[in-house]
Amino acid sequence: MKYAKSKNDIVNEYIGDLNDEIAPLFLEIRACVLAAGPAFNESIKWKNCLVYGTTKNHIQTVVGKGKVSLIFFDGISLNDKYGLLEGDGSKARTMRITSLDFNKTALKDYVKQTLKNEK
Amino acid sequence: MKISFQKKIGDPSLGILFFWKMSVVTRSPMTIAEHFIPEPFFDYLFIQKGRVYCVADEAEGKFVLPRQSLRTLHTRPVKLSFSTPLVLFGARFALGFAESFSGEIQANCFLKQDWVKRDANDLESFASQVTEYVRAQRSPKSPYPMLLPNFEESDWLVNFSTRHKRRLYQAAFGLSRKELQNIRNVHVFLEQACDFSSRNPRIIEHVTPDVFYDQPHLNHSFKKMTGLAPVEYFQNSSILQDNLMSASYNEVLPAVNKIGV
Repeated sequence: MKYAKSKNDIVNEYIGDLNDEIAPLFLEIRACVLAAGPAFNESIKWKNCLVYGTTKNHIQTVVGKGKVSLIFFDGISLNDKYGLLEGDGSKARTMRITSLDFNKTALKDYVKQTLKNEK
Repeated sequence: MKISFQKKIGDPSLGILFFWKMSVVTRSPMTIAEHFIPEPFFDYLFIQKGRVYCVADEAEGKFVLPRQSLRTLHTRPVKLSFSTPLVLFGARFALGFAESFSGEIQANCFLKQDWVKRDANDLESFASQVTEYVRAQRSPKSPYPMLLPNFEESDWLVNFSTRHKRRLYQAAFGLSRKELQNIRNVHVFLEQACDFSSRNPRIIEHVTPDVFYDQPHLNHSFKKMTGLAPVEYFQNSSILQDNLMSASYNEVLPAVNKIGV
């Protein structure tokens, strides 16, 4: 698998251990998130969730069977003009991605909004 | 803010699980707060650049960590703050390390140490100096390890009285067996891959009945030990401990205590 290496060794190990079925989708999503939010640092939290954060955690990636879920911790503050965010909790919203032709524009927009809202 | 985290596998025969180096660079100097929760590991910290402050509790107030220190087992959370730019080296040790540590171990403290004599500019150099020191200084406190890899007590302690065992635990780890077990229990919960997104199982689905009777039991123990409710903890950001915990959970927990004493 070819991908931009993280500055965090644990993230690289985590990506290296992903199974071949989900790895391409995971890497495409990761590339998309990092392109829209270059300020993000990556870390692995709670054993196997990739978390993107700055001075606080913003997005958690959870790998499921045939899908990758992105949990926006402060998803309630996002303007969801694409209607792809799920959830009715008090704060978090989830974007579920199942195929490589996912809406990259929407994901980038959510990521940019997340960083903008932090300021 | 740019954070990099490097890791190097340690020497399990000495109780060294792994070595790490964390660098934090920011555009302008700043202070980053970190909420450190108790873990069943010892950490050696070497501050090459920057400062680390510790707020242990209200009574002790805030103090600057020595350049080199050994973080012993904690039974309560510790607030650390890092000043940037920061370059921090560290080594994580299994519980068994304490059984062969020549110095006195007390819980809830950072013991000032001086293991790294020469300038450690990279992880390799730091690792070799720490390994050398630990190898030279080790002095087993008991003939066999007290805890098995699965955290159960070794058979050789079976005929010891409760009081005797309490003294042995206190001397080796600075904590009682029960306190060690409480720390371990919280981490049994944290080792799981929890997904708290909407429409997914809630915390109740992740409660292990063998460890916590029910969710209130988990919440109570968790809050007492970490200072945060489980969900608060999951959203809390940590630049150092998250990485240390991931590395510990993913690679070294099965090897905990497998030390040739």
